[in-house]
Amino acid sequence: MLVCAGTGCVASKSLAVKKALEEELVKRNLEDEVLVVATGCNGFCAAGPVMVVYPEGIFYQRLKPEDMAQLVEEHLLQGRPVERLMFTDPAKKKTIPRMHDISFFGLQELRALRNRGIIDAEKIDDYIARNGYFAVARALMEMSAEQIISEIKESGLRGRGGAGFSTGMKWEFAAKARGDIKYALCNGDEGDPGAFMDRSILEADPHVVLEGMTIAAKAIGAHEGYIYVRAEYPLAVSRLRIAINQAREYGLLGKNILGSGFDFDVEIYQGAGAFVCGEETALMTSIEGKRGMPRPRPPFPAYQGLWKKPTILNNVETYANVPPIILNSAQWFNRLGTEGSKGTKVFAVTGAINNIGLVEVPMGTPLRTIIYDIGGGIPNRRKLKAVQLGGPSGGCVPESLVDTPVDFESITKTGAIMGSGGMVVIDETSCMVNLAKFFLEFTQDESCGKCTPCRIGTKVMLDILENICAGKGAEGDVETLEDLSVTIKNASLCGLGQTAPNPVLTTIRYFRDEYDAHIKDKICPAVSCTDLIKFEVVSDLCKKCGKCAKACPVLAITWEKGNVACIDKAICTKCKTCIATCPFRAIA
Amino acid sequence: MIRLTIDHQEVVAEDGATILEAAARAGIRIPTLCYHEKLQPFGACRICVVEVEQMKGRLTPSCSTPVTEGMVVRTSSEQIIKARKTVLELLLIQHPLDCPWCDKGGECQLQNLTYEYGVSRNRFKDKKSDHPVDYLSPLVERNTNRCVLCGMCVRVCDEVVGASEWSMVNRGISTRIATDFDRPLNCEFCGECENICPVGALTNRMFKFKARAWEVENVSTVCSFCSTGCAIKLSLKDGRIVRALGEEEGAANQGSLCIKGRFGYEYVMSGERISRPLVRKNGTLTPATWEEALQAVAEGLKAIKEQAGPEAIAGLCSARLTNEEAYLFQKLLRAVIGTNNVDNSGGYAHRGYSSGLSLPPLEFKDLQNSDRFLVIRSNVSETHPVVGYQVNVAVKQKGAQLIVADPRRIKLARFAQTYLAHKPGTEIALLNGLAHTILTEGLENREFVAAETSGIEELKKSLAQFTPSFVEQATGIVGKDLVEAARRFASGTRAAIIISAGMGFCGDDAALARSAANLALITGNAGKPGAGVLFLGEKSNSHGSVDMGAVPDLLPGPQELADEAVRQTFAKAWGAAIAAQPGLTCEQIIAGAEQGSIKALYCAGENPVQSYPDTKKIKTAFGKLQFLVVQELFLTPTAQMAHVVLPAASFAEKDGTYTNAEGRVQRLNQALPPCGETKSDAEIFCNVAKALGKDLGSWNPAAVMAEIATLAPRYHAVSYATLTVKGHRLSEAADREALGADGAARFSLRPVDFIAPEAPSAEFPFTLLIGATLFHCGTVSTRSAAICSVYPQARLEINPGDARALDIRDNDTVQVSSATGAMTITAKIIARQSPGAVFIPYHFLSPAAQELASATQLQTRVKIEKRTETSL
Repeated sequence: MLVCAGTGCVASKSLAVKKALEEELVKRNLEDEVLVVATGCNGFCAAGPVMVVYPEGIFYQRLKPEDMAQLVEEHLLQGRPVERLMFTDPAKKKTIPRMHDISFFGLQELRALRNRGIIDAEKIDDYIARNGYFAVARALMEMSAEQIISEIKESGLRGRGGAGFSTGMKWEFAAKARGDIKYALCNGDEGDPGAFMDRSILEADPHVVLEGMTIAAKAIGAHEGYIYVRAEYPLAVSRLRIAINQAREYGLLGKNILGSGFDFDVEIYQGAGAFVCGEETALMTSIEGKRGMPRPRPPFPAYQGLWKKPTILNNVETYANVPPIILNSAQWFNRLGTEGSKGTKVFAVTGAINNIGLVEVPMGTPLRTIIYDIGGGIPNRRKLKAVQLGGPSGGCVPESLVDTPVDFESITKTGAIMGSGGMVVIDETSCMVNLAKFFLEFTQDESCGKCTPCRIGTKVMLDILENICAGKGAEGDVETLEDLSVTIKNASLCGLGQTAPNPVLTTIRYFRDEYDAHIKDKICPAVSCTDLIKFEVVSDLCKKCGKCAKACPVLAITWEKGNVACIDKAICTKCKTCIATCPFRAIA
Repeated sequence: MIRLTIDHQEVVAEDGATILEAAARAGIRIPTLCYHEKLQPFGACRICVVEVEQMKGRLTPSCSTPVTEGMVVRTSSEQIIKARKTVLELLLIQHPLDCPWCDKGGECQLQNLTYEYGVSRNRFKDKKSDHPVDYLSPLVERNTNRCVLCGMCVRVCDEVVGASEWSMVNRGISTRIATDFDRPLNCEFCGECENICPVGALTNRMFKFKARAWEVENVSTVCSFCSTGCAIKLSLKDGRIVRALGEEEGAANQGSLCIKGRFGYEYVMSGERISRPLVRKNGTLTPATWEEALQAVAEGLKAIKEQAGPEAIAGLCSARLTNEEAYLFQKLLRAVIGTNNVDNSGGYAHRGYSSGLSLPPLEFKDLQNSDRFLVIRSNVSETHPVVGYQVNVAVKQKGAQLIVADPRRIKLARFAQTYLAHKPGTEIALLNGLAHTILTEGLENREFVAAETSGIEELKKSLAQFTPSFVEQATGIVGKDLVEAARRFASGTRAAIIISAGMGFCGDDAALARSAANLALITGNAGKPGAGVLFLGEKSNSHGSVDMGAVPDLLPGPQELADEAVRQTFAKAWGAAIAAQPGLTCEQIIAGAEQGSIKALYCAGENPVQSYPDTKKIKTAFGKLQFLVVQELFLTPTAQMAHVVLPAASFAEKDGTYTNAEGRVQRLNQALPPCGETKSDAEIFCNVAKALGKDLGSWNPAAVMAEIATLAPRYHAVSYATLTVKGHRLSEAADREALGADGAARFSLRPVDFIAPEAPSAEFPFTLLIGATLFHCGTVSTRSAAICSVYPQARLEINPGDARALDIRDNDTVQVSSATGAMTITAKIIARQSPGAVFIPYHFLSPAAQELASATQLQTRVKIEKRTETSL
């Protein structure tokens, strides 16, 4: 019985469920018959706490500790899986007992996440049982550094942190850079709002990162490495720590790994939470104990990185892809994917979508498949408006482009970026200007303050967006935003500033009419920007159901059966509860 | 070399040069705001962006991007101009635009760039920045509302000064520069941050509302404090100095200064300056005319000479006289009065470089090329802060390795790979021990030793006893650390040994210098840039004073007095016989005064009663003098005892030259007319000679230097008229010539004995370390209000453990007594002080640390007691 102990399920009390289950098993004298495993994130966070019962592969969801007595009695003793705890397809209203029959799981291709929901992250033997550390054995005993690099280059693996630079080339630069001391670093400073791919891997399968790093270290000739993890990921940190200790005990880290003569060890460095520390030079500056601010490149880290020594930095997911390539060959890896983007990509799907969670799909999978087939579509019978890809550095892809395949090139063409895999689904109730403002608030707040365009430019853009949302926009604001964006993109020091205008530019590109409506007509078409809402009931749309009047916390709405509701603006506090409640979008 | 194109111009640049540097070399100016050649590229302001054909789609910061072969660069285009204008607009949004009353007005980079790019309108608006202004920090005013966050203050403080007082705090638009928890500055107060600030965010409080930048006249001269010889620019308005700036062209400092150089000039304009001659009448010093005073001097000296012979007269001069003045002073004593009794700086301070060193000094700029540093008996970051900056840069930026040996955990110990906290007074044992280890481990440079040195066998023999265990017993440094330090030192290719001299350091400086020279020579660290020994004299012309022969056993050159031929040359040039007998040293002069053999003393700028060890004894001795002449700026304790006081001009009021610790002769340029009736020391010496009936020649510095150049071989090439602000470095060839050929070998190795300091007694269990603080130099800096606002009086530095044992808390009053004296002083508990020893800076009149010191003993032992209410 695999109980998910990922952060999402732990937050919804999966550990209490596990405890109840174990007590129940003891009560029934089943503790020796049944193995309960606390796994890393299963991915289907929206349904948590979740559990999978093998050998049948029955998927249970939204479990409570009090469900355990019934579950043990019915499923284990009577052989009758409990239907009320199973997943129901929201569209077809049909219960689906087996995990792999659920489209959320069935359509995924697990590579980076191959051990999720299967192994206990705190047991190295579990990992080894799944061919763990076989790749490192091959890399250290049978392959030269050049062979490793050429295999990785041939696989076409590109960095999963956002920029998509060829991993093999990066390693090659660092391998050729002169220096007696080199470093292999892992970037676990995942900071995009709503993104938790790296966290999930670190929590579910920490050894895969250590294995990937060791292979990288051999390739470039490094003997020391750091994993930079946010301190806000305590579970990831503690599981990593356990993993490192176990690996050291097993001789898989430290001196003379597996008797190969190769030394490599890893330290954890906890980041204090600045978004910019995910930028490679800022991350290195932070490890050096200084204020995490980016440095100019060149010199590139492959030549002068951490403490001015040749350094590679790869993202968690990138490292997770390395061992299977070494084990199964480059050809195995690049069979999946598109011309320029090989393998799979993990996305954190969130927002207005039924199946919020973590999904891994082959590169080139259309957005539509992810949103409708895996994600289960948009809840509340609402319409898809756009998909925000790549977090604050990315952009919004409109509904009209929902057939865009997700690969580096196609996404870049839309004006968004692949980024680290954040995917926020947006329905018609969201205002795109407000969305752009949200991301600018984030980047402005997280700008390190070093370079002028990013520090002050993003603030000016944010001010303009706030004005527009408040109905104080003026003709020419959009042009000013576009103009300023060009300077910020061209002249900023690091990726944060260079990409900060993307959410604004893409929303202007695809939703210019919304900007114009805000500025010229002082209307927010999505009925989201409070200052632009009249708080009036549109008689034509109102179905006189009275839900708004019941929901209003200050009793500002009068309604009688059969009549259109009426909002008393003198009492109304503009809390927008009525707007959220109205099924007919009849309040404007 | 790399070839590239900048603005259609073919340019050749050095490997590793940035686009900005390559452009500057080709005469193409690219505007900057956060770039400074002293600092690492930062790339923050984005004013210097250019277009590079090979990096299309993005603007490239020229300050941080290295040139590559075939690069095609454009430094101005519509896109570039637009980006720069936009950046300026952004910077101006929150800037207060209070230019009319901002002290940086007229020399503000933001102002200049705004003007240059015609940013007269701003498309963007926001509230003006409204952070409180920091009026609490001494000397530097902080108004972050004007800040453009170029980060130069933060970087200069970290990368150059090594104080790391500033940091950036917060993120995004809230980013500011700040100290920890925004407290007022509590740092070295060098003002480098304020000086480098391109806008008015950090300003010099002494300059506040004094003048607009364009109103001042700048005079370049040389700082009068330590022997670094920093070139400074004095800004003048209405006949007053309104500020001091580091001279960017200065060879020793490249524009950097410390607190003394930047904020210490006020003593020049002090109301306490003596402005008229004083003659003692009926027991009191009474204002007199120059004629009366000179006559009194002449009569007094003549009388003694007639009565007791020239040997009863002696002269002590300050190491802050110019070369020309020091030369005239010793000439006055030798040629006019007829005695070699002339010395300076207590005689303690100059022995290291006057008679100890056998190899030429290092050049400061080459410290950047040194790969090993041994800093021993030298708190160089405090005694010679700007040299300390160079060590900091070499260690932190260039990867040099640093060994610090000091009983106190001095600032440099923080950056040191090896820190040796030896017992006070055991430096020679440590140096000999390092040499011994290097020789026994075979780490010496055999080729160099064989080809360039003599005396290796005798040296080896003399070092035999300095085994690690012996050294451990003597110094307290465990053998393992000694061996590690020796290996570290020997593994370098260009090692620099840095030692400070000064009134605070008692002991045998000559032996110390020889011991250090041996260590440098056996490892081949001589005759190449960045390798050798820097023996840093305390005062601005410590080295020049020796070169000019203001010491008892050397004639100008310096050349040996003992050498008959040398004496002949001078006798001929001066038209007077030179006594063959070496003169009395400073200690002997004082002893002579006490015993009555010295009857007259001429103190030119020297203040023994305050600054020499055992001041009580000196006071008694001086009381016995029949005739004391003091030539001074202030009525010092020494001047107060004088029969005649001659008022002298300060460094800012005269021309002349100083020779700094790296052997660079630099021009002083008169900035102000002499205050009151004061005259330059040179003029006074000539007038005294005239009153004695002899002619010393012209006192004009050019003429005096011309005479020096003919008589002192090292100074042959010095031409007063063509000396620029960069000065003239006395060449190594001349040094070698001056040192004399030692057979085939250029350098001689000379065995040095170690005399162990006596152990502390039960009565006086603590060792007293007397020395200089960062904030003062000599005693004159105590006359500068700005400096005293930061460091007003001496405090006793004591280790926390010792303080606990004695129940002493911070700022408690304690009684310190030695065999020679006792005093009360405020205690400062500080971890850098080693246990068993305490430190008191010597600059102050009261409490005067030198009262406790003994002139004859190497170490001063003291006891410390907490003063309780009842004992008061």
